[in-house]
This record gives sequence, structure tokens and C-alpha cells, in this order.
Amino acid sequence: MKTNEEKFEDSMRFVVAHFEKGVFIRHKAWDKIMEKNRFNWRRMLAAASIACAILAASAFIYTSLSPSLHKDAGIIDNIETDPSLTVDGSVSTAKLEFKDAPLSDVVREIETTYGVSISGLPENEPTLTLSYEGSASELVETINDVLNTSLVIEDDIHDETFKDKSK
Amino acid sequence: MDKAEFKIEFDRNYLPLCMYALRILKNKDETEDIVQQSFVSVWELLKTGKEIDNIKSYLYKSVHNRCIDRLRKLNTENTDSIEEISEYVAEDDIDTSERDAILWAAVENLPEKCREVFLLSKRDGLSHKEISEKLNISVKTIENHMTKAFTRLRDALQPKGRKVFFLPFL
Repeated sequence: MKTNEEKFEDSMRFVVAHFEKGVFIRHKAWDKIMEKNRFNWRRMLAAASIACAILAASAFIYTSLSPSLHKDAGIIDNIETDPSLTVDGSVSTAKLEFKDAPLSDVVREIETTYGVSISGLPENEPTLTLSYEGSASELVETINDVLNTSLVIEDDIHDETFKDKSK
Repeated sequence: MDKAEFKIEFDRNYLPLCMYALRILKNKDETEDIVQQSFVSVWELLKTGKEIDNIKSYLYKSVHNRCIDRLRKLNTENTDSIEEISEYVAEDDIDTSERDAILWAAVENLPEKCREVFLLSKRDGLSHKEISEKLNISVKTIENHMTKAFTRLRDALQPKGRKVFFLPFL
């Protein structure tokens, strides 16, 4: 157990060994502590702002690049792949996709895409789910097979066989 | 605890905590950094509404742990110094740090020439004659400075409120 004198000597030796004027100034330390505290708050705010900006940019890029979805029932996509254009500009082959599409919509789409006229639409309105690539006549034949319908292409300048049938 | 109360605790404990950390780290820059970090973390904790029963103990423990972590990070060659340090804060060490802080402040408040003479003597080990030649002042003046310095340092450690009454000789 140290005496008071020994404690005094020990502290004095320690203080004189390390003493430096202007070090451990209370009011300067207090200002720094409050400044660090303010700085942390600012840093957090800056980090939150950057995070929001990144999120907004990501959302913008995602919505810009994502494929647009048809809201209309039935027609998913109508992609023309290697369309064979005839002299009058109509398409001889195309790729169509239908999902639960009413037959009337299907017929309208075929007429528009292939430049043909189709008759024989039944009174009931069956729906069609089909992904097809080919000519209008082959498509109509496929539809007739699938839905047991009797659609007829009134005018198809690309299909010689069909012309024979129409005769 | 509001900011004003925290400031009171800061004023009371800042220098003793610096002395405590300085005894461990023996580096003034590291000491200042660690003690400030400890106060910052306590203040951030208090701002969240958390209550700390004994802020002084909490601060000493925080400084102590940060000092140990800093010594490990510095990868000091003298690993004995880390092993010698207790894992908890002893009451004696707190008393020592408070005594060191009182003396540090007393040396800081010494008149400039008096402090210079005192440090040349006690820190640098110069004799009174050597100091006299260095500063070009008389040995008697050196002795007066030393007496003044010791008196002030011992007075600083006296409990406050103690008064000495001199009764005139009748």
C-alpha cells in the first residue's frame, strides 16, 4: 500500500515525463466531440441520399428495359421473324402467339398480319392458345384442327392450294 | 441526460480519462483520439434515450477497452505490456488518474518561467546550477521557482475547502 507521499511522487514523475503544454485542452476536445457528432449525422444523411438516388436510377433502368406486356387478353406477342414479303407488301409467313384469345381476335390478327380475309367464324366464341409460325393457310388449318372450326381464307394470294380449295 | 448534464460529466472526467489512457498507451495523440471516441459513443447512446447508471464507470471501461484494442492493433513488440494490463478497471487506477489530472492541470497553470524551471529540473534532470546557466538566472531564483512549483502542486492535491488560519502571536 503506497503512502500519500509515494503516490504524489509517482504521479509527479508520470506528469513531468509526459507533460506538453496545449495538450488535452478541454474546450477544444468538447468542440471536436460535438463536431464529430454533427459530422456523423451529415454522413448518414449523405449516405441515405446516395442510396435513394441509386434506388431511383435502378427502378428507372428496370422499367425502361423490361418488355412491355400487352394488357389485352389473348395476344401475347406478334413477332415477325423473317417475314416473306410479297410484291404487294403483305406477309406470307409470320410468327404469332395466342393465349386464351377469343377466336374473333385471332381472326382479326391473322387478317391484319397476313393481309387476308377470313370467313366461317362460328357463333360461339372459342378461345385459342397457340404459338405458330408459318403461312396464313397453314395457321387457319391448324386452328380448324384444334378448335374444330371451319374457317376459310377468302383471299390468299400466297397459297395456291387454298386458291384451289376456294374454287 | 441532456447536453448540459453531459457537459458537466465531460468536464469532470475528460482529463482523468486522458491520464488513464496515457498511462496505458504512452502516446498523447492516440490517447486524445480514444478518449474523444469514447465520449462521442456515450453521447450517441444517450441521444437514443438509453440511460447509463454510472457514466464515469462506463467511460473508464470504454476507454480501457479501446486502449487494449488499440495496443493489439498497433501490434506492439512489447506484448508483456498488454498482458500486464488488467481486464477490468481498478478503483486505485481511477484514483491515480484523477491525481494525475490534478497535477497535470497544476503544471499547466504554473507561471511560464516557473514551469520551465520545474520541467528542466524534474523531467530533464538538470541541476539548479545547470538550469541557472541555461536560463541565465540565479540559482536562488531557480530555488524560488522550484519552491513555488512544489507548493502549488501539493496545494492542488489538498481537499478543497480546507483553510489554514494563522493566529497572530499575542
